[in-house]
Amino acid sequence: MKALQSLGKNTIEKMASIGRATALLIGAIFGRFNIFKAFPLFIKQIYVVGVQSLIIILVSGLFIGMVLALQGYTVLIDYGAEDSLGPMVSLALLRELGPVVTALLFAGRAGSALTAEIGLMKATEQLTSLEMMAVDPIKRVVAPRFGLVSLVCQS
Amino acid sequence: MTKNLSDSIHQQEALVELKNVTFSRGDRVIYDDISLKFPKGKITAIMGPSGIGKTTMLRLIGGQLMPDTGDILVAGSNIPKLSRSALYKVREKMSMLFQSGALFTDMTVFDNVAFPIREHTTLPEDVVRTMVLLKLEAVGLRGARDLMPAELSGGMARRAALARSIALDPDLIMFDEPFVGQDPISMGVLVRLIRDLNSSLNLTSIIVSHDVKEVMEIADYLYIMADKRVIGHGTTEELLESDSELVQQFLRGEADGPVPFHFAADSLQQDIMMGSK
Repeated sequence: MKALQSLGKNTIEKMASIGRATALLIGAIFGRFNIFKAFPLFIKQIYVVGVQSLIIILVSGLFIGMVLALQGYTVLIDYGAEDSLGPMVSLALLRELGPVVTALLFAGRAGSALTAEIGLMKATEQLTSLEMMAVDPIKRVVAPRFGLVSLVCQS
Repeated sequence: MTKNLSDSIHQQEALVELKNVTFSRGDRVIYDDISLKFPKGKITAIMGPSGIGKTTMLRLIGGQLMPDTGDILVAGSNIPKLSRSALYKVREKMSMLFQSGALFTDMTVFDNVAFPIREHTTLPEDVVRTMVLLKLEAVGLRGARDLMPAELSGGMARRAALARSIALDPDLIMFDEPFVGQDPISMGVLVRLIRDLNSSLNLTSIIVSHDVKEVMEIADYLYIMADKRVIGHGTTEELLESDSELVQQFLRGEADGPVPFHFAADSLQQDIMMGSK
């Protein structure tokens, strides 16, 4: 009987947790925010999540390109096709690996920076104080950042 | 005489009222069927030992937590039954001063105070500026308007947060441990500010604290909570004369009494003898 109770309790808790996460995601995607009020935040975040992520993405791209070129050269030279090395590296890197590497590094760097920022706001009760000021933190804090990250990642 | 005063305060129109509220976190019951009244235009304090859920009560009143049962009435609205938009509407007329101040770290003091005005009104920027400067003047921080929160001392941060919380002239303001970690001068400044703002703006204030001396100095009515319920309430004079041992132990800060100094355990002799076996 106890095992059954515990199973029921855990299931309800898990479902509630999934429900909360889904509500947050929906709020982040569809949360309508005031573009004029969010504009200074947009500019700051474009710099923080976009421009500051460029360096790490460029450096990673450079090293991946160098590795591809080195390994590709040792193989292609056996067939006398070393002339194709340039197009191969550039096409593989820009068309195929570029988006993947960018997405992974962007998620790692910008995602963790945003998580830390929002986490700090939560820990210092800034989000609670927003709620008490009758300002929805999902619309004011999460939705603009989510929209902006999607935009920066696309471009 | 004091009894009459207490009755008259308690019978005044209440801005906030908790009726038979029960609240628990998991299996742990925090409040067991409690009822409290916070009269309009008065400073009411909630005191009690750490960990009995004083801050939780403010969160219940603010609608951030929902009680298991019971009603929480704020200006006639029953908070647990309100829709999200109606709750946000009620929150526009209430304000909360957090223990940490909770200033937005990426904005100056000026922008922090201007934030609620800009969010909820469409006033032109020069009017906003005047309003913010007046609020900052009231807390003595007009000269610190361009500083960032990280550049403020603890007392200044709390005063800046106080200016922000009165920016929209709320009806109700809730103070969560406003005197914690303050030096005597900052403490005196805060006590004076809370008292002056309450009378000049005709606010209803709820103070949650365990700084007995300061709270008794400014509160019109006090509730002392322990063991999931209200163990005593009344004016300062009534509580000082209370015959409840628990109330007296709390007010006098005695180490031993109904709340024991020792955590429940076997006798020391028994424990020592067990160790030698």
